[in-house]
Amino acid sequence: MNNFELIDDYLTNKLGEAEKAAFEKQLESDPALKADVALQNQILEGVRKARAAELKTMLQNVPIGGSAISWPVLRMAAGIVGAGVLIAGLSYYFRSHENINPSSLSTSIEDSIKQKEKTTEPMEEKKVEPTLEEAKNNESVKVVEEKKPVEKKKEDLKPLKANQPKIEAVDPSNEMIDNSSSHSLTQAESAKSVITASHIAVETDSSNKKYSFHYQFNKGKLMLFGTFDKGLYEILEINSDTHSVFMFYKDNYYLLDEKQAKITLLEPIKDKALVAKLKEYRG
Amino acid sequence: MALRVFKSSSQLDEKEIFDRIQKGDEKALELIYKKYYRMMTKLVMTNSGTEEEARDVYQDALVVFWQKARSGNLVLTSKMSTFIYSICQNLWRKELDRKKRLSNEEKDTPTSIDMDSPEREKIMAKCLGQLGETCRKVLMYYYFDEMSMQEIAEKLGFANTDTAKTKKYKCKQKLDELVKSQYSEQDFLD
Repeated sequence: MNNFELIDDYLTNKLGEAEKAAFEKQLESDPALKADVALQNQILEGVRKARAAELKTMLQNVPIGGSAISWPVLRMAAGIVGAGVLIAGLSYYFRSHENINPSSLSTSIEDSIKQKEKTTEPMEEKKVEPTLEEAKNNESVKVVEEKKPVEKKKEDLKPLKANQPKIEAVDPSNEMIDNSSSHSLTQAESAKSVITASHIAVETDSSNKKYSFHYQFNKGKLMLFGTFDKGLYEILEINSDTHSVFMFYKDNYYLLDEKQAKITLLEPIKDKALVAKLKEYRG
Repeated sequence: MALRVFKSSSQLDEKEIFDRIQKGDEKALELIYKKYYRMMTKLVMTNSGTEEEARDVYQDALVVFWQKARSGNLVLTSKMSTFIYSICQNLWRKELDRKKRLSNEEKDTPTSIDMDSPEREKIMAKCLGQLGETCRKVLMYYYFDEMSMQEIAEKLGFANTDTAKTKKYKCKQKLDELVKSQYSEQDFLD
């Protein structure tokens, strides 16, 4: 047996006890052999990892009944809260409650979706009711948006009016989707969530291996590094005395420093009071 | 005996599916994936995970399950779902620990704790990409799925086990050469 096969058999546990012991003894006294074994081990690990990744990709492509996740990316915006104006540019994976097949979704999924609907309910006055089929097949669900009712209500809200962002600027086709047509909202609730376009341009880069969860501001544009496009993030802009930008992502809030030109790791905000405040802002 | 005594029809199905997985039938793995998707992802999602994380953990768990089943050393003493569930639990626990550590440590050491390893992975991926499809498959089946030469020959349509053996030997040598040349290139760059 030559070294090549011997190392291979050693690393794949194909040597008998005696052979293995002898080989390990040889390893101790032969640094070159040891280095070779280490390299071979790395190569085998690489092959295994590649195969594991291949299997994962295969599973990723398996359509899962009602909970297949190919939600369209939707952009939404804004809510006004308290003294400040909150402009939120949301990139949402979203879908209509009507599309959920209860039998194929766990209650927690349903809950989380309901939760999301709650946060967006005030903004909705439109009818988006894609069929399940559409939701599955259509990357971009068509939205018919009616802004008027929302605008009317907004006028009633005097304290907020001064800071009101231009609602007319919203492009209904891509800025926002509203899918639940709940009419039980009070005026105040509806007014709270006037929609506007966020003026921060966001770009995500998931190809950079070095930066898996980072951000930077580049010429006023927010760059996010990592696989954000698969998840759900929201950019919250808060205009009060000072202008601050936050991101909400996977249950955590992150402060985004607009002066940060360097690629910086995103770190969740720990300050409970601040988090509570942001939660409130987010609605 | 691998499976339990009470064999309802679904358990029979389960045994059949498990047998197919042991034989390296990827379609059976896909079946399992669909069948338990809800149950397994719920586990993570009700324990402070997102759906994306839940899916990721579940997929990883199935890959682990696949490899264990393929190795031939796995004897199921419980339901397949129970076993997969426990893998999910372990993986998610590990992930939560990792996250916790990360949030505690990473303040001081921003990005590069070990830049070497992703770099190495990149090289490996590149080299594997340079191998032909058949070579890649032979090596993956041999080293990950632990298929016998007989199985590899059948799966890839080789004339016999000797062909599979020769293929594996040559492909491995080719990969070694590619990796070594990449590594020395890397050394020059450093």
